[in-house]
Amino acid sequence: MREKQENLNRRTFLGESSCAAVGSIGALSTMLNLKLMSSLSAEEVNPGGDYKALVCVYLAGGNDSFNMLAPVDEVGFDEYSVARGSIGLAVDQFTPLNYAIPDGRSLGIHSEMAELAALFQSGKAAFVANVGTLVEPTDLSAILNQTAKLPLGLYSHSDQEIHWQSSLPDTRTSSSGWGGRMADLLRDLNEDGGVSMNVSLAGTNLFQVGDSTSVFAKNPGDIPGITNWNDPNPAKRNAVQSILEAEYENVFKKALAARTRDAIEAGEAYRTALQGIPALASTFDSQNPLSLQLKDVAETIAARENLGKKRQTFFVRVGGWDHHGSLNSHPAMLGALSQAIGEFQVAMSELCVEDQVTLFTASDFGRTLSPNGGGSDHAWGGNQFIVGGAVEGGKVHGIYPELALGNNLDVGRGRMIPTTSVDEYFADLALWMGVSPQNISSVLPNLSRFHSVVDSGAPIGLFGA
Amino acid sequence: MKESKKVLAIVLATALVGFQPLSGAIDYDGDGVSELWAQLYPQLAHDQRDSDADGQSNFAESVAGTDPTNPSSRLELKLHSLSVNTITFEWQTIIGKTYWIQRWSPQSGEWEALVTSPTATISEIRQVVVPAVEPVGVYRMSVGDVDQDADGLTAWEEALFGWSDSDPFSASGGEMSDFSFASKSLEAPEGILLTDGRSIPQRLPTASEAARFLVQASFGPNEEEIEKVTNLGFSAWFEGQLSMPTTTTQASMFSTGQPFSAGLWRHGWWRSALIAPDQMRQRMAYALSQIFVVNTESGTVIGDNVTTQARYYDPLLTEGFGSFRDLLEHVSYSPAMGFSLSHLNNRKSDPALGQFPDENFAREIMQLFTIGLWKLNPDGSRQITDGGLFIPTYDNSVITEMAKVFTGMSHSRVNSGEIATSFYQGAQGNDYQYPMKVWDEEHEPGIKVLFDGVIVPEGQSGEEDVQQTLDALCAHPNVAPFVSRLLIQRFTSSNPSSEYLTRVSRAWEMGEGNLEHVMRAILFDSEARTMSHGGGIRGKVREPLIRMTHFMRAFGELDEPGKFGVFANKLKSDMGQFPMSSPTVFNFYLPDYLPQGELQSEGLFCPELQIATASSLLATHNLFAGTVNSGHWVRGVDYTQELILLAEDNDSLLDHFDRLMTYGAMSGETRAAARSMLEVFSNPDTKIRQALQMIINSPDFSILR
Repeated sequence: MREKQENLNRRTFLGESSCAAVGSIGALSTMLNLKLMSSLSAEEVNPGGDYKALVCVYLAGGNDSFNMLAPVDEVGFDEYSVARGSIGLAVDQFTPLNYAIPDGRSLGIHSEMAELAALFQSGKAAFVANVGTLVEPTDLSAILNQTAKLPLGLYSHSDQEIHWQSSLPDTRTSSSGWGGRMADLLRDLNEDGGVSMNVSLAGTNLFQVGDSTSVFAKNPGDIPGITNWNDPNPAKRNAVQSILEAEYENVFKKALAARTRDAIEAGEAYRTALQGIPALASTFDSQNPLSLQLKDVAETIAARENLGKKRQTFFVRVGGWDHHGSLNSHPAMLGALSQAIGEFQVAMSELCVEDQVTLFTASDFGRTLSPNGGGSDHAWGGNQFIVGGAVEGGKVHGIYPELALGNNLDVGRGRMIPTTSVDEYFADLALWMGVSPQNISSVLPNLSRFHSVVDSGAPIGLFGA
Repeated sequence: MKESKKVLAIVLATALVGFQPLSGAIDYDGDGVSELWAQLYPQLAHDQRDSDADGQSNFAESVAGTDPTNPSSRLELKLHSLSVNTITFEWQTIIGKTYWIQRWSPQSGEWEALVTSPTATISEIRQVVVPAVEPVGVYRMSVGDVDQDADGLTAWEEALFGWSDSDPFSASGGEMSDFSFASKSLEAPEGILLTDGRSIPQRLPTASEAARFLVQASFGPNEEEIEKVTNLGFSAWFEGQLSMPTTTTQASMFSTGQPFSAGLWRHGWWRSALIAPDQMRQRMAYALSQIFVVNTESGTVIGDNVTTQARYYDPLLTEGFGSFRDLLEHVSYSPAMGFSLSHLNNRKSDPALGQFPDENFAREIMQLFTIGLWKLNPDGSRQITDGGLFIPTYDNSVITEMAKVFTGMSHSRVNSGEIATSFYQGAQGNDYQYPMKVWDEEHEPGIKVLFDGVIVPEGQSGEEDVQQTLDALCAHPNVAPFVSRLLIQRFTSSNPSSEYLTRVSRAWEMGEGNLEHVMRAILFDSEARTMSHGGGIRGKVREPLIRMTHFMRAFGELDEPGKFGVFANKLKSDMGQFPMSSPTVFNFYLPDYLPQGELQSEGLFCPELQIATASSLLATHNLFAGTVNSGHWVRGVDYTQELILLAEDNDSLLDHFDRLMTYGAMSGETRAAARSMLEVFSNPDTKIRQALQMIINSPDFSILR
């Protein structure tokens, strides 16, 4: 978990540090201070970029997101009901958002998601419609002709989860995720050492792995540490340390020893950083696993100064979205998701970082519009949402698709060709975090197949034009 | 071009170094010397000493195959004759050895190969003619071993056994690989009469070798099991395991002495892992449960019913060394799997409702249980098109077609145990004990077009459709390499070489998917049986769960009936795994997980590190340290009087732990750290606990190499 100080490429540095506020310089490391003084002029430092964090909420298994966000006007709902058949919901199971998309349909959100609906209405949440993994822009005829270049392992959980996290759907051997590559650029804004910029409350994941950035993965509520080191006799501690620090020839021994050392070091740094941080007044439901993860995220954000962080990413995860057999549990899961996110936003407000923390969802894929009986199967494009004070909220970004089966985005059974690529979705997030347009391709190498940030700015406008 | 000149001078040298590490040989201790040679000269040190003072060290003579006790038996390159343009060399060959003549190149400063002389099939004076390029030349001979059939035995070993080095199954005619047969032969009480007339005595495994074998093939070595292996040999122990009665979880859970509860099956599993005599079968079933993944944690109809759990798991035990096809059938018809992957109550299409068959099981039976996503070569590598692309094994249309095959499956009995009479009656039921039935009234009619042109024809019953599909999956050329790799990763190596995987796949093919043959090939392979020293890339990070059972088997109180139990939830949350508790069908970790850092840059997979987070690594550390102190559940740890006596001498204590915990391969670092720590303590019980807490958390214990 140690963050190594890298040689800063001057151009890279100027680009990435443009969000660092003048007032924040005192909190940066001495080394970074010197670099800032020598390489930045006052007008290149953009106030307001003091602290920023991204929280990825991963819905593992493939959220049936056309039951989360659906048309509720008469024509649109009718189309929805026909396509979804036995798994379609009644119109009163949606809360109207009083929001019409350009084709005139108006959309509603699942009625269990009251907190998310309220955030949408107050302009702090937005949807991104029909987003998914794409290798390049494509269409139905190219897919039917088999001339389209498609994501490898389309519709497969393990592959699509990797592609959503790497944003490189044309390879199965990604060694890094886009959050990790972003951290490779941004982490020089943070102080060295201690806890990684990328914190996971849900185990190892590809999203946060960079070329040089690693992930601090901890369980909610846990401060990793070795409990029996309080032995008054230092002999045991010395012995354990010398075993972990030994130079092994065997690569597996080396790897395990290094991981354990990093865990001990990061755990101690985390423990130290959290000392003296007042408990949050905001509450989280202890029965909701996502609430517990997000509570930990909030507590870590509260300790950001002690941790020496100007930029952080967090990874949380909820499983169980693979609703083949039945969608019976889906409404309650959407409710729990909404509840946890509502709680998190209250905590962000309490910490005065509402505008500085953005939460976004990701999921393996959307699901077939047509039922298989009680459930739905693996598909492709789906709907996601982002939440935070900085978000251009109260909007549905991207293109909400027609839901009639057999339309020109339907590759079969209502598997929708995505109209927004994950690269575009993630580019908005990365730019907001402070990645410069010049460097965005190192985070999202495939983005240029869809959009030129240098010419046209952020692809979607999730944070305003 | 220069004209050839008369040869003026020739200098001869003999290089007695093997040209390659002795990877393809029967070399259990990994010292670079074949165990066959070691048995021929059991009294000699196989090192740089020169027992017969002929100028060639014992180790060099082991490479050359010459007699290290006879000074006249040595490799010597001799000049036979010279002509204007040629030089004729001669030397005495040893059957099975391969020879190279090299010439020193002053230009490049290296030895350059002139002639590779074919592997000797007879003992003779061999002559070789080489061109005389320069008037002065320095020549030498290299000797070494080859393994042309890549069966893990050198040509020299095969020649002495009288087997062929061009057929990996030459010894048994297909029953088992030559390596397996050699292992078995070495352990025959009567010894072996070699083809050159010499004979060698029986060779049984050392305690360290036995312990290492048991790390691979059981839930952990203990004194009793090590002794069995050293007395019987690897092969007889293996065969004995095959014929041992199966300890089912159904029986084991009712022998734990625990009250009936939803957690009883987990207690039963734990009891079997710790004390069942059929250890290898228990390991195999556990490995299979990580391929055919079902989650039986509480809170579902299967998680709350211990009999359902046993009915799913026990066939993995009873059929674990039987046919893969039978296992796949069990899994496909199991209502527990039907519940997990939702083909239970899967109905045919209803065009009026716009309803289609559930694709879940159809996808995962291909992707995870049998053939995987990409067409494979027999060595497990992906086939590549001329355009450099991987070839998918199926596309989505195959999934929608295969989904139709698995329609109509529902309970075969109603709740009372009575036979159901229709899909609809079965679907109302809740009986997860009996295999599902394929009911024709909800089975999709019509043909189904599967992968590689496999057609399920119109007019068959649902049962026939399913049976044909399972046959087709098992006949797919991917099955052997795909599933073999998953199994190898569970037992011996995260990164088997393509040769190793080829050998195991071949055993799969020859045994027609019989897992007994597959398991034999996995364990009786040079890559599994050779201890790797230093920086080898074979081996693996051991599963934390198996490290835990290893310790409990080695030091737990094993003979107190009525005291078995396990804190399954604690083990799961601390270590990230417990049997039948994977959160998804993708198991606890993926076979292709590449951990960041050196392993990633070397392209080395390490599934087990996918669950090694900061929290789980240190929670596991704490769990292990706590277990050393007080055992687990009500089962304590039993530090015997003998152990207490041993603890009076630090080195004896560490030797003992080295054998039981690290199969005699404790590193110098660990031993030095332990020794200096032990000097601080004087109470024997404290010494034992402190040393074990350290060793159980050491990389030496955690890694199998």
